[in-house]
Amino acid sequence: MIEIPLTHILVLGAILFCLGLLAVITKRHAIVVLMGIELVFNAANLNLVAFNQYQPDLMGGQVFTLFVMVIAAAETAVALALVLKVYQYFKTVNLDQIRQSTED
Amino acid sequence: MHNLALWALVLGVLPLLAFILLGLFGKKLPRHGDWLGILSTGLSFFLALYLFFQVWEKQVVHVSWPWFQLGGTGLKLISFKAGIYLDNLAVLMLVIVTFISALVQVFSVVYMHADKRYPYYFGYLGLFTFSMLGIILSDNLLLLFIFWELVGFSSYLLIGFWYERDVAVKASKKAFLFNRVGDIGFLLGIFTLYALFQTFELPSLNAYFTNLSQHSDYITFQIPAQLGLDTNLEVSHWLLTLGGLGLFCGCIGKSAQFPLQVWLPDAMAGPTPVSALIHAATMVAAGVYLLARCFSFFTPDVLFMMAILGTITTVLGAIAACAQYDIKKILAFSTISQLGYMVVGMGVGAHDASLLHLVTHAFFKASLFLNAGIIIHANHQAQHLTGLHTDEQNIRNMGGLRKILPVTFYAYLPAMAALIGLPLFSGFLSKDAILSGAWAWASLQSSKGNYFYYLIPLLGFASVLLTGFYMARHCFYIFFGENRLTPDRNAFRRSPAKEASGLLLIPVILLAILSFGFFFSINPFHYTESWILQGISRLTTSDAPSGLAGNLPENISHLVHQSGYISLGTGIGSVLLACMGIFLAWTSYKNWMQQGASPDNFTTGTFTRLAYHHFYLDVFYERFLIAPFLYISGRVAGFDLNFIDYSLNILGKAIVILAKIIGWIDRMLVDGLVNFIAWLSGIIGKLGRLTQNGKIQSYYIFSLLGLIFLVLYIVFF
Repeated sequence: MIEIPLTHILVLGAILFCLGLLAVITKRHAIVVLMGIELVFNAANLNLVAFNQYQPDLMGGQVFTLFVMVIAAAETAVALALVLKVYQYFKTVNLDQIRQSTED
Repeated sequence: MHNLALWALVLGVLPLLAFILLGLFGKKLPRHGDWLGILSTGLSFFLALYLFFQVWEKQVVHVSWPWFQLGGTGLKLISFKAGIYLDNLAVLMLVIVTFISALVQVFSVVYMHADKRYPYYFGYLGLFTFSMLGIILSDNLLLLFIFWELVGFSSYLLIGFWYERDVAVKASKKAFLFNRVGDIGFLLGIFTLYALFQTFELPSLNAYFTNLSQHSDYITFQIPAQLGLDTNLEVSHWLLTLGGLGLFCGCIGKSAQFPLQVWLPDAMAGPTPVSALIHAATMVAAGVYLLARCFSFFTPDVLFMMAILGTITTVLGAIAACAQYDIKKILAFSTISQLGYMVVGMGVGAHDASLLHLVTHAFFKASLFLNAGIIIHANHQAQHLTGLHTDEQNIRNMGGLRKILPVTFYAYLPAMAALIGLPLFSGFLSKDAILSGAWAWASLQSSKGNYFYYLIPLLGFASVLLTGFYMARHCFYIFFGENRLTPDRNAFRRSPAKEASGLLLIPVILLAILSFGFFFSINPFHYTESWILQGISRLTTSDAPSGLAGNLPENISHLVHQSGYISLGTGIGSVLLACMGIFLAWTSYKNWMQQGASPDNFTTGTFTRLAYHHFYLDVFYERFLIAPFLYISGRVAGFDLNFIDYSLNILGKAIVILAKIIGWIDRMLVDGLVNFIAWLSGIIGKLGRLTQNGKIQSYYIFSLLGLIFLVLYIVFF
């Protein structure tokens, strides 16, 4: 088997994280932001799996990854419910138009 | 003795009470309060009689009370006292003043009847009487000066009593102002005496002037040691002369001497009883009274000045009287002339003769003025009844009153005879006394060979001639011939049976009776036996010898006694001159009657015009003193208005401009600073507010940045 250096996987994870962050920060569509959050989750998952090699008998990394996926799914459900409620109120999913009206 | 002083105080204050009560409640009293004035003055008169019999030739009363103090803690304490001094002269004057004042008030009941300010008239008379009594009773010069001024003020009120008349208002102002001019000198004289001797009190000053020794140009006084002055005080002669002249100035103003006599003729604009009281008997006599009181303080130079000015006054007054046509103006100029006599008497050292003349003059002149009052009153009534309106005081409009108002005429005659100086009348005694004194003085002074001194008695004799002339003229124009106003004799009389009210006639008759010489001296021809004269002479021989004048009075009376022909000569001479004057008046009157007796013929001769216009003295004062002064005051007022007010306005404007600049600074800079700070905090706030923009993504960014900084901080620090 060819050993993939740990660094490569971490860098990939970081890139994914940044891409997800980019999506969160920049995108207008609320659902796309949620997708970006998913990316961030998955980047964290990748890091966890990469560090699994240091605990092969307990497989802590992989188990933790499963936990993260479950929580991500739950969180996505809640987030979608929130987005639904927001849409019902603001009649749009464009984040630029969803802002708490603060009086100047 | 203290009792007598208290009675004197009551005597003085009673007329003041009348003044206050009449001033406050006059209109509400029954009969408008004339009885109050007469009652108070009458009571004062009886008190004066009582004091007279207690003090005359018996004792001298001097009581003083503390008045006010100056200085004190840290400064030398000077205390002043006010007091009452009664001697022969004072009680005599008290009797005269209260008597004549009472008579004048009785006279005024009818004369001023139905005047709309009737109660105030009696009030002012009360004030005047109070002030005059104050002058007589005062024992120190400061107190005397206060009453002096008060007398001037009362006369201002009384002369200008009918203030709707412009003439009266002007006359009252003139009288007051000319008096004030004299008072300046008076004050300076008082100050000189005080500066030298540290006291105002007359008895003390008289005492100092007894112990003195004269040197060439200074005089040494012996002062008691406890006063803190040098026991041998050396005073230069000229300083004393100046002080004496100052005191004399007060007399010049008050007693209408040259050059300040011009107020007296104009003062005839006041009611006639006022003229009788003030300008015949009392106020004008105050000046002579002052001279008597201050006689010891006058150096021979001052006395000489007095004699000269007195002579000038006598002659000027007599000449002016010869050309007048107003019944009262003739009497006014006559008063000026007689006052001149009194001052001459003082100046030549015959001070007792002068005071005797003051006493006799008071009675006969008051009688003459009241007489004129009756005539004016009758004329007034006649004009009302006949509807003719002419000048009721112009003697050319009168005539024949001898038959129309006989009682008035017979009361007039003794007074006129006394004024002219005919024997058996009081005026003869006093004039004879003065003229003899003047002649003796002249012969004493000219013993060094200079005969110019005789000019003074000679001018006195000339004045006797003129007096005879103008009084006789006065008499002929008024009482003789036929009446030139209306032939209806009942127009003048109160009723066909009664010529005038008793209240008008009785005072005149009483005073006319007192014009006879009998009351003043048992021997009608020789004045030295006059009991009044003897009483007054003691004024200086016992209490205080003649001071600076040395033995002048004694020398004169001695000389007159020795050479009996002096008084005989003056007596006969004056009688002859008086008769000549009467004769000349008769011829002049006859001339006038033959020329048509017109009331308008104005004097044509230059000399007569000069006399009529009173030597144009009024014009002189107006043009050379008053007009320039008014001009200067106008210019000063203009300066004040244009320059000073203008500068102040500029200053005010400058201040406003300054205020505006400061306001601008306040607005721009101070407020600007505050506003800037507010703006700054606003900007910062706006900046800060940007973080709270409601956008979720920006919140996310900020929290991320915060996390990064935290991680960096943990890693690197």
